Amino acid sequence: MLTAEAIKKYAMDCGADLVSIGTPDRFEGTDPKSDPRCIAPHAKSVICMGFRVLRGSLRGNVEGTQFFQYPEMSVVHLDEVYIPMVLRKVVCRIEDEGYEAVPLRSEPDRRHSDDPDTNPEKHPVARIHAVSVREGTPPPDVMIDFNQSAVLCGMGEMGLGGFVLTVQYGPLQRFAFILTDIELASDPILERSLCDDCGKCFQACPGKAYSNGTERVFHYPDGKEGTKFLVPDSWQCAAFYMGADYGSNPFVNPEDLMKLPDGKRILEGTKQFDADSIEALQEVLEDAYPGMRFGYNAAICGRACWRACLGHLEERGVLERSYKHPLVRLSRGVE
Amino acid sequence: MTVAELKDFALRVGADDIGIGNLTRFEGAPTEMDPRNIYPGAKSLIGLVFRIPRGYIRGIEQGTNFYQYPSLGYGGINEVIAPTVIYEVGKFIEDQGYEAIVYRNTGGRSIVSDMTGNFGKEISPELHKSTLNSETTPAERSLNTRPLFPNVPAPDVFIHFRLAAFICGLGEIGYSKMFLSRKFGPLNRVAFLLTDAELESDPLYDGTQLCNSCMACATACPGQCISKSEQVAVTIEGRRIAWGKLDEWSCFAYYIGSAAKSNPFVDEKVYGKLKDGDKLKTGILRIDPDAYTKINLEINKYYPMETQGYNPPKCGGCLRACYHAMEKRGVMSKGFVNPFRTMRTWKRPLEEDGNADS
Repeated sequence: MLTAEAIKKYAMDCGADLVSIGTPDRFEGTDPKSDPRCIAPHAKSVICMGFRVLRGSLRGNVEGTQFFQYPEMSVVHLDEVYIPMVLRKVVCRIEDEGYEAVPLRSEPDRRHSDDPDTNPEKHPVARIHAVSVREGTPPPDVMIDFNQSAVLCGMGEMGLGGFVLTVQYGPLQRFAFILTDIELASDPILERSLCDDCGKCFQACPGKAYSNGTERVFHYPDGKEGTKFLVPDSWQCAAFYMGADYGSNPFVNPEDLMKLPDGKRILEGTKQFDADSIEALQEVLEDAYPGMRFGYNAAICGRACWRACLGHLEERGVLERSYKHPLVRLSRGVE
Repeated sequence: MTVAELKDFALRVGADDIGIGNLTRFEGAPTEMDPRNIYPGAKSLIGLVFRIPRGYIRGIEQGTNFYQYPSLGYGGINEVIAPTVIYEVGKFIEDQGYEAIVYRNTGGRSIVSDMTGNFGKEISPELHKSTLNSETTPAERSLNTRPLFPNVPAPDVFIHFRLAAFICGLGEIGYSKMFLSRKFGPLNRVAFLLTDAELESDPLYDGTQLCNSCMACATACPGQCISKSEQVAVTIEGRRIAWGKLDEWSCFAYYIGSAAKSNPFVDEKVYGKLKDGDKLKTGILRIDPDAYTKINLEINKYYPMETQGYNPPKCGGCLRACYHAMEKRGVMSKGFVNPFRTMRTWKRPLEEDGNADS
């Protein structure tokens, strides 16, 4: 019989950096459109795997000298190459025991047309429409909320900025999941302890995307008082992730931004983006700095929210891992 | 973390050779190509070599299969294998508390073209994008960009891969300008990591002379793109490195198979549509960027890019000739039971030869 301990060891041997396990009943109350039980009703366990984002992959963004390596290595390569390879190995290991293992990799561009959110990493406006094919089930694709799911699996805590923090890597990881009908010992859900609500993630965003953000509450399944967090305005986040901030985007020509509707406000940094305005913006930004493989966007902001958060966590010494040097800019020039 | 532990780990996770370069060896490099400008706190450059298995070019040598080399030797290594290995090595380094700045093949994102050294936007021979009517057009590989801070170069700072591999002590620059690995000759691709860990660097390669300027590369080029008389030189740590002056735009054009004798796929009628088509067909036309774009659109129709966007070379001239020459001299540490070249190199029969396949 495959145990939780054995699966965790196998997954880590295959390349996962973190593994934790939750139970489907923890998703009680979740909107069916993101409830894993609607994908695998017979699942008894939800396995979460974390894959670290190398801190060094963000160095070029910090120094303002290299913008290719982070999105290509830490978004595209992880999601499209590395994670699928590890997922497959772990899935096969479970299925070798006679249990079904349903992999859930990221699906960044499969949102429904009525979903008000977007994902800054992919073409943000791609939308699909679907109808339910069986009574009582939501229309496909059911997409689990990776942040919620990671916390419900005991992987880490929900930070104030709406992203998961782990004691090993702070905000620097990506996730994948497996739903399986094998019953495994689960890990406890972690309450907020790393995040001290400092708000540095809000301040770091070049698009002030948290200013128009939505306050949400993370609900614990055992009825404990929920944890508040803020989700940034996802269109604003997407626009500035791709480089809408002229001041921090070295590639874009200001004249090209000025040609866009509201060009002056874009250059001033006061424009609020929505689904329509972001399409025209994306064309200009992609012409200046082409997108990545598999249709992923460049990450010109370099996850400023994550970097600010990581810096604060490292400064406070609350992470298990430490580096010889902090993630601060060392370039010889002065701002 | 000792250097031995790091090297052992990198080889275990898939690198075929590894060397460590002292960053002071970049002294004198253009600021936009100096890795110290990516991260001033970096202390070491780690170079990883990934072999291109000899079998990947067998189909081209025989003239029977041209897809495997660009798909596996370019796309497979650049897009899958090398990024995976540098990620694993990066994890190993960051587990020791040092930062690992991964540097995979970028496909060109610098203000300076890595192919021609020109500043600003420039199209590439390797990168292509599809248009709506399924044509492929060259993609730009260099950018217009500005520095974000005073005294810091404009991004993306780009490492010259071949010279960086030399700096890591992994081999020589050949007369062809190809990097020649001490183990695999020209059959290699490379990727790098910068780190703030101070690692003992390897000396510059000083073993058996890999390139003896035999000119096999220049002779084999179907477009006569490598000058036999004019050279370009740089100095690294007091060592003069020279290679034959390369006519880059012509190399781009003949690389994709513009010379009919090296391209089994092209319809000979296409040369009638192109300016100076008769000269292009025989490989004597010198190419400029405008001409290249038009040539590319026509020539590439007959054998499109592979799925990861890499352009299949229908020349294979310099690389195969160099490999054959090095193998004959026995200067690569990796050997084979049977020789690479066992018959005369092929040339496509042409209409004017009277024996073309109609």
